[in-house]
Amino acid sequence: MVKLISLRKSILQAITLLFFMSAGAVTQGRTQTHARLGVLLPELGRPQSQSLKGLTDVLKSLGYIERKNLVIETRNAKGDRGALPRAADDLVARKVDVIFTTGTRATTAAAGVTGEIPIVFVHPGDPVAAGLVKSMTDPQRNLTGVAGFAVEKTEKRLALLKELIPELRELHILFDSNNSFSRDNVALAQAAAKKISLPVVEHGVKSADELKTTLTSMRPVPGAALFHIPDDLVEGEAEFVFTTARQKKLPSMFNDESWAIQGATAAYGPSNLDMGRRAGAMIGRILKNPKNPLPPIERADKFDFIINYRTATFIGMQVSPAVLKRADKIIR
Amino acid sequence: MEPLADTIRGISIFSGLTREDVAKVMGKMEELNLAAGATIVRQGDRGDAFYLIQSGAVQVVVDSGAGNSEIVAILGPQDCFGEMALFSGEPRSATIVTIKDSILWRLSRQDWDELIARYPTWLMQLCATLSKRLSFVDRQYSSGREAFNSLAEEFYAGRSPRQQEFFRHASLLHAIDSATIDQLFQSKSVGRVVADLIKGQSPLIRRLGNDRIEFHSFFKDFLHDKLLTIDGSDTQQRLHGDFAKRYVAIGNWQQAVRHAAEVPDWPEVIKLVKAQSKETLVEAAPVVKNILERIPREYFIADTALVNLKSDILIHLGDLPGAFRAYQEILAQRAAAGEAIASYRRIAETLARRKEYVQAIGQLRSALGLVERDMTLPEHYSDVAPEPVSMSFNRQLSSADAPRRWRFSAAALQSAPLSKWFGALLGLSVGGYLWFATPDIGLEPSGTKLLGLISLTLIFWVFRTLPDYGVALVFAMAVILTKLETASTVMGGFASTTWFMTLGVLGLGAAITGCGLFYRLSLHLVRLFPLNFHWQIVATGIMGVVVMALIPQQTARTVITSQMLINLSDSLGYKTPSKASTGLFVASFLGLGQLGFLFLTGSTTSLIAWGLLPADVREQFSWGYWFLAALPPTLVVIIIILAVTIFLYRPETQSQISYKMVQTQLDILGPLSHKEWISLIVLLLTVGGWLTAPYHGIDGAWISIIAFSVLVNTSILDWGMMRKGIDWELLIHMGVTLSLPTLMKQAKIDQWLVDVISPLILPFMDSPAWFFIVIALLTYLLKLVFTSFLAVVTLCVALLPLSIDVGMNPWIIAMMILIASEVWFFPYQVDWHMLAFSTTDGKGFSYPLMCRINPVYAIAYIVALLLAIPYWRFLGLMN
Repeated sequence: MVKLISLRKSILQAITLLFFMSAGAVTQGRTQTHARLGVLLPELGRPQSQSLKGLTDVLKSLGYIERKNLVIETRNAKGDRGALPRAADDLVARKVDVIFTTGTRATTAAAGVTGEIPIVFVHPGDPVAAGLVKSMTDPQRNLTGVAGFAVEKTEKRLALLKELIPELRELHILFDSNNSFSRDNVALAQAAAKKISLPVVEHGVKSADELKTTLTSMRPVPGAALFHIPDDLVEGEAEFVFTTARQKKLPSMFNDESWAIQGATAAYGPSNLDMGRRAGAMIGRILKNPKNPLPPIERADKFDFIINYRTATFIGMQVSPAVLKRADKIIR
Repeated sequence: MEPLADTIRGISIFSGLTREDVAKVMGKMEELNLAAGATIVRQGDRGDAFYLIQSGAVQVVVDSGAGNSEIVAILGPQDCFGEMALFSGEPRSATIVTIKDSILWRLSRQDWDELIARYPTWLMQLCATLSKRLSFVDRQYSSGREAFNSLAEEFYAGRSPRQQEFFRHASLLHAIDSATIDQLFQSKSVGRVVADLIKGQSPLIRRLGNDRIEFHSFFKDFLHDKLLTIDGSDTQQRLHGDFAKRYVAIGNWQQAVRHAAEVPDWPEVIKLVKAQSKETLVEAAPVVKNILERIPREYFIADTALVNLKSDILIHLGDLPGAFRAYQEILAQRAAAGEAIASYRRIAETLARRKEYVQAIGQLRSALGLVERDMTLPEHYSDVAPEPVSMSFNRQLSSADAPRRWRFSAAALQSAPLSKWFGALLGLSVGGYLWFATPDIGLEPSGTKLLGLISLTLIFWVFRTLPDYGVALVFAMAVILTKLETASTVMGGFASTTWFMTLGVLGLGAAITGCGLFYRLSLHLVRLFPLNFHWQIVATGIMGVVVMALIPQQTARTVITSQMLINLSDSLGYKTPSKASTGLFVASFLGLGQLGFLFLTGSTTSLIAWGLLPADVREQFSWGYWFLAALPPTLVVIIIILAVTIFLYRPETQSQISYKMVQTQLDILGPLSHKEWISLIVLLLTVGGWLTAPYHGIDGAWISIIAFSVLVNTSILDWGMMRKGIDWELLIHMGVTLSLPTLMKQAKIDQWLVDVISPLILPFMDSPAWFFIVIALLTYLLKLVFTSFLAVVTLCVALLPLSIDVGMNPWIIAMMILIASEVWFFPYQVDWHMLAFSTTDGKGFSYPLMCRINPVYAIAYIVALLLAIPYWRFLGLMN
């Protein structure tokens, strides 16, 4: 027993020792770095985390080992828009070789503070429509990346929703009626639904409170489903949307894996992991030949279909084995 | 009988009685047939009976202390002894042992008192007789005393003042040993005085051999008077205190205790007695008994170990009624609430009336164990919880095969201040480093700081640096005051359904335990099965499983059934402890402690794991669905363990037995009491409510709170039971712990953990079987250091976020951890069985035998997990 107690103590001591050794290695690594990568994130959610994971995996495979020959300076604005320009400035001040960004705001902030340092972004939508670049074929001199063009997959998303719910009768779309981008997306969804003769019920709202009231008072018919279009107002109230949808036994289709993890019944969208990998490959090329022109913007070609089986079961949906097989990921 | 009547009339105190009176006396006398070598009374025992020898012979042995005994008389037919015990009850002045097969007649003091109460005129006769005897003795005493006093005065006056002081002080000693007297008086000169006394021929001194002497009692009284007159009573007390300390240094614990008792320094006396081994105490049983009888009652009320010690000594001395009374008195004083305790006492009293003292004492011991558990044991510290106070001594007094290393373990872990300091230092170092240096580990600075606080908290919990719930509160306050998170988030756990579910279930458990329903149910279950080893293994196994559903308090379940299992072992004719009796305990522990994961309410660890699951998963896993999903692996474990138990612990012989023990207890319990009825109805409605939750939509937490409120409002649960039966420390701990997932999510620590842990687990992610094995082994490893509760919290927080990447429902990961966290290889890892060990005074099972099953459990859990994969896939819980 004495041996066991000392074993217990030894284990704990070893853990602590390893901890301090690894901390020491971090410090030591800083002095031996050759390449410096700046990472500017609007927040660190699952999409960003997956992109980063893909990015670092590829850089590692290209021989860029963090703390050995690569320093990654990460700046996370934690959802604070105002913090992004300051964080971007800081990265520039640290003389990073490349800046990696995710989404419109972080990319805009980085582009706003430097016209020299190459910026590589991953973007779930259309970077031209988002105003990041003028065209896909003629990128700005220091801006490139991987774009998902998720909106273009609206038709595909709808088709998958129909496969998931063969008895689909009606689509409900919540959106910010003040947002022109959202209105365009609703129009796209309407067009796609029309092709398969599916009625769409639009719920244009102007505030979070109105959204909540609208969703709470919604009386969906059997076979109805909630269809998501990219919209800041709705996404800001995602938790409420998922909880209410569960209560109303209303299936929902979103456009990113992270929504399915949070509670959407299904999601179809560009693979953040894959976009991160491709961005990593771009950064690898830039670091290797910094004087070469930037590679062109790429389109994401891997899209993931995720089913939240837990939610589906809870709301009483029977998901066919064939559809389950098609899913890239099933949340159990 | 005629010669016997004459003999009785020949005894001085009965000489005034008529033949009819003597016949009445004889009607109360009990015949004893004793083999040669039987001890009838022991020196120092309380005199509680008078004996008359009809045939055979006995020897009268006087122990003059320190192992010296002398045969002072041999008594034969028509002789009697102990007559003065009928009046005074004074301790016996000698030990009486039969030297050949003998027939004796015994008249107890209680029976004598009854006779006197009925025939008070006898008192007149007796008083006259006693008066004559006293007058004779007094005359003899007075003349002898005068002569002695004159001699003592002459001896004392002829000594120097320094020597006079030595003699005065030495009058407090029982005996004077020339080898140790210098140490006792811390003076070399006194050794010479003693040497002279040994050489001399003074009638004031008695030689005891081995260079030891003692003062004649008259001389001692003379010197003692001088001591009080010249030095005063304060000096006397100080001297006793000094002698006590010096005897401790010398290693003479008996004398140390004697002097400490004279101070009186009862805590020191108790400490000294408890420090002795079983063998030492048993050797000096009469002395120990006398000491214990002097200790004030309040010490016994506060210290169950002391009660158990007294009882064990009395049992050793053959005074079973005395041992029974010792428990009765303390239980009456501690007046714990609860029908279960009342039932134990009721059964014990009935058994005592039938003179079945061993079983009666066992019942009271269980009752006291239950009171003790209520008062001392936090339920959730499943592994290294503070040892119940009764434990250490019980283990010392318990069976010979209870190895010393087991005694050491739990106490060593909890009492080692070094370990606590080490933990404190480590926690502050790691926490401080992360907080102040905020190294770049992939988290935001605030996340790193929070991780620092979590690490510090975790380390403090592991090393038990401070009480767990205290650490939890400090953590909460640190997070709130440093504005790392809002109070509503940090304290959100206290408003969660998990917290209320736990409160309700603990209350329900306390009510069921307290009202005796559980005990009755256990007895009925045992009776359902044939009374042989194989079936009783199954019965006791199932018994635990059935009741586990409703009582998450593992220790409560264990304490209540322990004594019943001892009785069952007796009924089956097994020695206690033995291989077979251990087998019964192994089987019962299956449900009582090892399968807590079967029900959402089966253990507090299940409840906390449930609380740490995402909200939608909690909603999915209602009480009934949890049971359904957990049933197959549980069945696998049950089958493996029961089969191996039957094989490993099979008895050498199968005795002829009956249900008498079980039936007797059920008879005594009688029909269901009012409280039991209410508890039963509430219980059934609660389970019904949980099972039908998907239909009526009421959360299980609110159902349990409704049940709780019914129990409170019908006075089934009074404040005392709520205070003792509900683990409030756990609830405080849980309230803070439940907020950890939210805190970690908001600080992105969950994602960070996934990134850190994924590469380690990645090689096993594609194969569920390997993933299960790795998690199980990791849990086994962690449990060498962590408590079950802590292991479950830590692993759930760290591994649940992996569920998406491994394609499993988070519940599966939680269940893996829960199942694996039940394993224990060494007694210090869990505490509920220790309580069973102590409740049964180490007679229930033997640890070396018990531990044989542990590797089987470790394998059975992994096999069960692997076999559950197809079933969990069928339920859609994993890819």
